[in-house]
Amino acid sequence: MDPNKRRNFIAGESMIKKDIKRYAKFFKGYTELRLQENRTGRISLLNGNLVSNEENSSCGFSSRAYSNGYWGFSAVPSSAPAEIKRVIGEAVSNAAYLSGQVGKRPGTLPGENPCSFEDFSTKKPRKSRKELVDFIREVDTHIAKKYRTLKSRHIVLNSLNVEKQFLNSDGASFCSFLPRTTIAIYLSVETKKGSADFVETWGGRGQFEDVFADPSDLFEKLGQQHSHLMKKAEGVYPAAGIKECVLAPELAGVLAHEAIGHTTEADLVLGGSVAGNLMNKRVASPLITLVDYANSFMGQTCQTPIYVDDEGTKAEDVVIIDKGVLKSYMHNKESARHYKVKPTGNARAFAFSDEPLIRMRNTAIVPGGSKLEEMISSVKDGYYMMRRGNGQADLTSEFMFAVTLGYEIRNGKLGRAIKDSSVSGMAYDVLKTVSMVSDNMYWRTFGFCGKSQPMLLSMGGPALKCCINVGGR
Amino acid sequence: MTEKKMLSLCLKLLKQNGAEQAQCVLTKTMKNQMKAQAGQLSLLRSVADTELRLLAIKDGRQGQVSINTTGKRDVEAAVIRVIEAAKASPQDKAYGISEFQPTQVFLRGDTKADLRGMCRRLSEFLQDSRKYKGLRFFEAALGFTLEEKTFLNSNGVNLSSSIGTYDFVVEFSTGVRARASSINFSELWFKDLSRPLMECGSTALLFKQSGKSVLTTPVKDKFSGEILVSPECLGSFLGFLTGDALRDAKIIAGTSPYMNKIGSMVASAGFTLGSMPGAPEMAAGYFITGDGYKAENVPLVEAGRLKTFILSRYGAKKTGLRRTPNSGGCYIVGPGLEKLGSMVKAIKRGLLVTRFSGGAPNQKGDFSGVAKNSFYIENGKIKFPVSETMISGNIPAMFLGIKSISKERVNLGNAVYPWISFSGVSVSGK
Repeated sequence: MDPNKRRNFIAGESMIKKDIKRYAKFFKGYTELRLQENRTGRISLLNGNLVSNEENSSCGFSSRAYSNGYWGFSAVPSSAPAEIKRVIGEAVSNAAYLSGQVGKRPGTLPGENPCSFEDFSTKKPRKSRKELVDFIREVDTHIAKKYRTLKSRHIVLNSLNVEKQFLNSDGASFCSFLPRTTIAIYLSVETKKGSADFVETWGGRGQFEDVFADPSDLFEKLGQQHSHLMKKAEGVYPAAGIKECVLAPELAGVLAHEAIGHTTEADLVLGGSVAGNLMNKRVASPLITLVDYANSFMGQTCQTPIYVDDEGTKAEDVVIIDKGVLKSYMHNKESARHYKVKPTGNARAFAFSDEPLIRMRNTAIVPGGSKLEEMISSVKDGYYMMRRGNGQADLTSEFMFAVTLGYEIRNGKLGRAIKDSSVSGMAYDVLKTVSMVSDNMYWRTFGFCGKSQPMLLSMGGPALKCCINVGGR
Repeated sequence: MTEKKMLSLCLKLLKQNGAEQAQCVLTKTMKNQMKAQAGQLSLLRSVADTELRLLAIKDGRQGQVSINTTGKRDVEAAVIRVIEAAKASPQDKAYGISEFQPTQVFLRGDTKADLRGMCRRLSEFLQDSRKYKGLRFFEAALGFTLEEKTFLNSNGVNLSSSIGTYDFVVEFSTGVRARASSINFSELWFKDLSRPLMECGSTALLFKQSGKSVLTTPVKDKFSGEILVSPECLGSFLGFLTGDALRDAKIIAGTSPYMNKIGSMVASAGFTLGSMPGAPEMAAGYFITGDGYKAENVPLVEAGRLKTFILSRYGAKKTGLRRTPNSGGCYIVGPGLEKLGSMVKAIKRGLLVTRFSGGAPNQKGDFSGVAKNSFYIENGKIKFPVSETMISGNIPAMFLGIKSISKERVNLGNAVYPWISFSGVSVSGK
C-alpha cells in the first residue's frame, strides 16, 4: 500500500466511490444516511523539538430518522452492511422511543432532492510525511538563525480532510471532499523594554500541496510578524472604554460571524436571541450588508463551499442584513417549517457521529467604497485593531473578541503598538456606528466555531470604522 | 478476538516493522444522549466509537497514528503509516514509553445507560424549570457514556479501565417581552441518576440569577476593584495555570511565568489546589494517564506554594524535572474560611462574576474580556446586573492577591470549586 496516497482505512478505497444508495431500502419515514471520514494531521515543532507528529482518521456511518415530531440518531465506526442496516434501524427506533415516552407531535419536514459531487482534493502528487516534517524544520531553522533574540518559537502544521457521502429518503444526495491546511507560527520575545507573544496563521482550503509550495514563501511574512512582535513588546496597554476604532478586515469577519451570525441562526432565535424581535428592522448602518455565502463570492469559490447541506437541502446564500435592515435567519428543515420559509442549507455536522445543527458557512460583510488609509487618517484618537484571537457571542448580541495586534491612532497617524486586549459591545449597536467601510476584502478560514460540535467555516469582510468598547487598563 | 489479544497483535506487528518501542491504546465508547430543544424533548442519539492509537519509536524517532476501526487491513495500514511517521521524525532522547507496572483493571460506574431513568430525570427537570418565569432553553442534554480503555506497551504495561458516567449540559437565558438575559450554561458530571438534575451543581442558583439579569446596566466608569468569581466561572481564570502555564509546552519553551517557582508562593496562603482524578467526588475521574501510567491524586498548590508542574513523561525528560503522576484535570480547590454572604459584605466596590467571555491570556497572564451574567457590588450589597462591562488584570497577580475563599463549594463532577474574591482587577463600563 502506498502510504502517501489518500485512502480510506475502512475499504482501502476513496469513500466517494462507495455506493450507499443500496441502503435506501432500509429507510422508514424521513431518514438520512451519511458516510464520513475526517482525517487530521499535525506536525508541531517547539523550539526545534518535534512535540507532535501524528495523523488521525475517524470514519463511520450515521443515520438520523424523524418520526412523530422526534429525531432518532445512531452512528457506528464501521461500514459492514449488517451494521449499516442496524444503525438505520436504531435511528428509527430511537425516534419511536421518544414518541412512545412523551407523546406524538404532528408535522412533516420540507423536502427536495438536489445532488452534488464536489472534490477539492489535490491533483498533485502527495508529499510524504518526511517532506512535510522537513518543510516545517526548514521554516524553524530560518527563524532560529534570523531572529536570535526570540524567547520561543512554535510552528504547527494542521491539516483536516472531511470526506462525506450522503443520501436521504427524499432522494437528495451528495459526495464531497473538503480539505483545509494551515501553518500557525507562535513567536515570543522578552526584552529589557517588555515581553510579547504573537501568532500568525496562513493557509486555507486545500491539501498541503495546493496551499504551500516552498518554505521560503513564508519568510517575508515572518519578517513582518517579527517586526510587529518587537513593536508589541515595547507596546502600551490600551485605554479602557468606548473608542473610535478602525477594525481591519480580519476583525470585521469575526464581527460578522460571532456578533451577528450566531444571533441569526434560527435555533438560537427560537432559544431567545435578540434577533427574534428585529426582523425587517434597521439593525445597522445603511453601509452594512452581511451575507452567509453558500459556496461562491463574486464568482470565486469560497473557502468553505457547501453545495448541499447535511440534511439534503440545496445550499443558498442567505442575505442576513441588507443595507442595514435585518432580512433573514439561517435555517435547517425544522426551523424553516416553524418560520414557514424555505430551508437555507445551513444544517451541518462535523463528525460522522454528529447530527447536523444550524451552522454558518462563509459569513461576510460586503465591501464598501472607502480606502483603508483614509479611514485611519480620519480618526483623531483611537486604535487600529489588526489581528484577532478567540471570540464569543451571546443571544443578546453582546460579543467579545480578543485583539492580538493593534496600534494607536493619534491625529490620523499610526502610533505605538498595543498589548493584548479585547473589544466588545452590543453588535446591533456597534454596527449602527459604522461610518466607513473599506473597498478591500479578506477571508479567513482558521480555527473552528464551537456550538456543541466544532465546525469548519470561513468569515470575511472589509475594514470598518466604528465605535467599540476596548478592554484595557 | 479480545481487546488485549488484538492489541498484543498490534504490538507484534509494530515490532516486526522495526519499532524498538511501541504502545497501543484501544478506547471504545458508547454514548446515549437525550436532547431537549426550546424546552421540549427532541432527540435520542446512540453513538458508538472506537479509537486505536499507535505509537512507535525507531532509532530515537517517534510517530503516532490513530484510527477508529480495528479490521486486520486497517490495522496493518496504520502500522505502516506510524512507522513512516517515526522515520520522518528527528531523533530526540526524550521520546519513550512508560516503564513496566503491574497489570491492573479499574472499574467504575454503570455499564449501560438507564434510558428510562434518563427520560424521567430530563422530563422532571423540564417540568421543574417552569417555575422560573421566562426561562428559555437553547438546549438541555442528558447523556451516559461508557468508556472502555486498554493500554499495552512493549515494556509489558497492561492497564485497562471501564468507566460509566452521566453528563448533563443546559444552555439557557431568561426572556421578558423583547428583552433577554445573556445566555449562560451549566455542565455537570455524575455517577448515577439518584438526584434530580435541578439539585446537582448550582443550576437552580444560576436560573435565579438569570431571571434577575434581564434588565442590565453597564457600569458607568472605570475603577480598580474586587471580583467575586463563582465556582462555574473559576475555571476561566484557573485554566491559565492548569491548562497552560504549568504544562509541557510553556515549561519546555521556558515562557511560563511560573518558571523556577516550584516551592515558591504563587497564591495567597489560603489557596490549595489538587488534581484528583481518583477522588470519590470526581465523577469525571480517570485511572490511566495519556502516557501509560496509573493515575494518582496530586497536590499542585499547597497553602499558596507551588508543589509541581503538570508534566508528561516527555515534558519531564525534556526539562529534567519530575513527571507528574497524572494528566491533570479533576481539580479540587480547598474550602476557605468565609461564608459567601460575608464575602459579598466585605466588598467595597466590585463585581460578582458568574461567567467570563475573554481572550486567551498572553504568556504573562494578562487578560481582558467581558463580565457576563454578572452583578455590580457596592458597599457590601449586590446592586444590579451589568452588561457591556469589561474586566482586565493579570492572573498570576490575582492569585497572589486572593482576598478570601468561601467555605461553600460546588461539585461540578469534573471539579470542586469555591467562590473566590480577587482584588486589584480593572473594571470598565461604557
